[in-house]
Amino acid sequence: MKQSYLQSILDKQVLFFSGKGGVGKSALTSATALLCQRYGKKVFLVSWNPFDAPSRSLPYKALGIEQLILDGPSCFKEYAVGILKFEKLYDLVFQNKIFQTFISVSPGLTETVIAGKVWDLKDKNPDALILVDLPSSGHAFTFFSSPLGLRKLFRLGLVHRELERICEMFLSPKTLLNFVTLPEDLPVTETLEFKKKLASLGSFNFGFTFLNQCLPHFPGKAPEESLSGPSLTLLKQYQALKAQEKEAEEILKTTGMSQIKITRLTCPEWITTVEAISEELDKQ
Amino acid sequence: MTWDLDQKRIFLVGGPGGVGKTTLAAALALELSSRGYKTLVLTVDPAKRLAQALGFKDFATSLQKVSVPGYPEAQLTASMLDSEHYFDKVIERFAKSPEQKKKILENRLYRTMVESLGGSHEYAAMERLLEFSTSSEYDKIIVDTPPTQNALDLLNAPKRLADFMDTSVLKWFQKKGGFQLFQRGTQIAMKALHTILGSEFLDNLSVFLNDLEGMQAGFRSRHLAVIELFKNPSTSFVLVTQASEARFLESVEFQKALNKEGVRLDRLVLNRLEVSEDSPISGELCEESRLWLRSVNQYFRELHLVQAKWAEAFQSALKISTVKIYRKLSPLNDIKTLQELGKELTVNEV
Repeated sequence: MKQSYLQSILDKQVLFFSGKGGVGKSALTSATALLCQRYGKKVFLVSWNPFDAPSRSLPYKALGIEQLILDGPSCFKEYAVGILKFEKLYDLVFQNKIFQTFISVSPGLTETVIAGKVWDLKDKNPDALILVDLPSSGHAFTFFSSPLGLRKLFRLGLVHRELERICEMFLSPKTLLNFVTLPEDLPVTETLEFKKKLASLGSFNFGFTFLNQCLPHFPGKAPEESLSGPSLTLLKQYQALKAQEKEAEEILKTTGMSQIKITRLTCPEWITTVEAISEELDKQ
Repeated sequence: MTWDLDQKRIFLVGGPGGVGKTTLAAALALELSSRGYKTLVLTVDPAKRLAQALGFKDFATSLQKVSVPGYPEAQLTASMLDSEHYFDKVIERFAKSPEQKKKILENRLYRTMVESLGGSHEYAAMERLLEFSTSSEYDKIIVDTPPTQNALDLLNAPKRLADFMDTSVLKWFQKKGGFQLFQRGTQIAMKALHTILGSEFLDNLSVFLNDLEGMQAGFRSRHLAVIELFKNPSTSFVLVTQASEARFLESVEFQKALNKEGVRLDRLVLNRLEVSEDSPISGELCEESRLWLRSVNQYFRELHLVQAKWAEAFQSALKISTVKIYRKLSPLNDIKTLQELGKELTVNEV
């Protein structure tokens, strides 16, 4: 029997959502969080969008979701203070421009400390579900590749242990990697390429592909009569979008992942959209 | 009001992914070349179909000539940005000697860095742009910038590299054992770093940074050149996005971030707006068909109204000239449709 979306995620600990910018990652992550929360699951929504995060401006608070925005320097600080034991000592030595620069530009360091924070969150809340809204694909790849690549560089020290844990979390059966995409050429192609690249890094558990912004079902029947004027325009408009959708579905099938179609809604606000998507996910 | 294209030389087409940037960049390039400008369009990961529409099998990193239907005199060149080997090329350019080059290219830390940054097109885009902007070969250069919701990523790409090689950071690591020259705070910091990162990593880093000695000035000057280029009055920053709340909030942030750096947005393109008919039923139709048409029309009508609302919000918040582009019924897979789109983009002003 086929499992529902909810059933297949409730026993997980970490869900990653990735996809091209602007495909609705934040909306899908939030809708999933909302859904799980409604079923009594403790959830944390982790956004990692470096610098001037657009996700910062989205109204999560109004949705009642606990959101954590992570950034490199503060995650590094948390990690280092844990080791050094004294925050004052950290401030004394690290709170200067040179060290801050070092932290933000060292290859893979930001990604690794952020992944470390996710691990930490999971470790402290074993019953919770952590949903990670990843930045757009290029950065998301770094997020996964850095700890896996750095593991080879650090064979000693605290960092080695930390990296081992992170990699274990990435590949754990309790972790799922989901993709969000649109029924269009470029985002779909990118999803396929991204999945292939990730699969070459390690054996991740791939979860769902969300095909966002699909057409809803309309009552009545598409006209079979010969049309002209506005009726014809409308039918063409519908058919053009439907054809794109079909093609995207076919291409995404090749990933072997479960596909979930999400309707494009006419809600004017982001919050109402997220709530409606969450209801839709409940029926999947 | 029309767009003063004569005054502009470089067009940076930016915005989030999946909004049709690449297509619009190509359309703009076609339009400019048909107006008689020698035009170059630089693009990142373009759709195969767009490449085919422009008349070649696939985009290549070499310069490819595009023939423009109806304008035999038009000179249009397209090229794809190669981000894969970008870092290696930079190292080759700035290395002081073949030995230095070899040492860096073979460094394990460098390889890790390249692997983890390899996917970011930002560096490559800016580097290629700088390369072409200084040559007089082209009148107009259009850059389809990498998809980013983050203006600073693009602007700061060379800066991050330069920061990495900042002299003050370098100083710590260069010449092992040189730390004692520094104040006590730095010594404690180094000790803490050793505890946290392990000495193996720091040794690797130290070797790597020593190898890079003398190259940082080159990176620094590239960063300044990019900033200058962005600020130049002959550069036009075109933001392509869609009319929705999430895109609106993000665009406001985007503009703020650019303005902070002294860069101005020149034009806003709201792409793929839905069209909506007043009365969808024409001709004799059965009841089922009428119901279907009415509900489909109602749906597009609602989308249209929501978009109109956000389009208005965009205009009053961003206060820049705005073009509205409506969704095309046929896919944009032939050059003629692209040409029409180019006209719409440059003339249609709201």
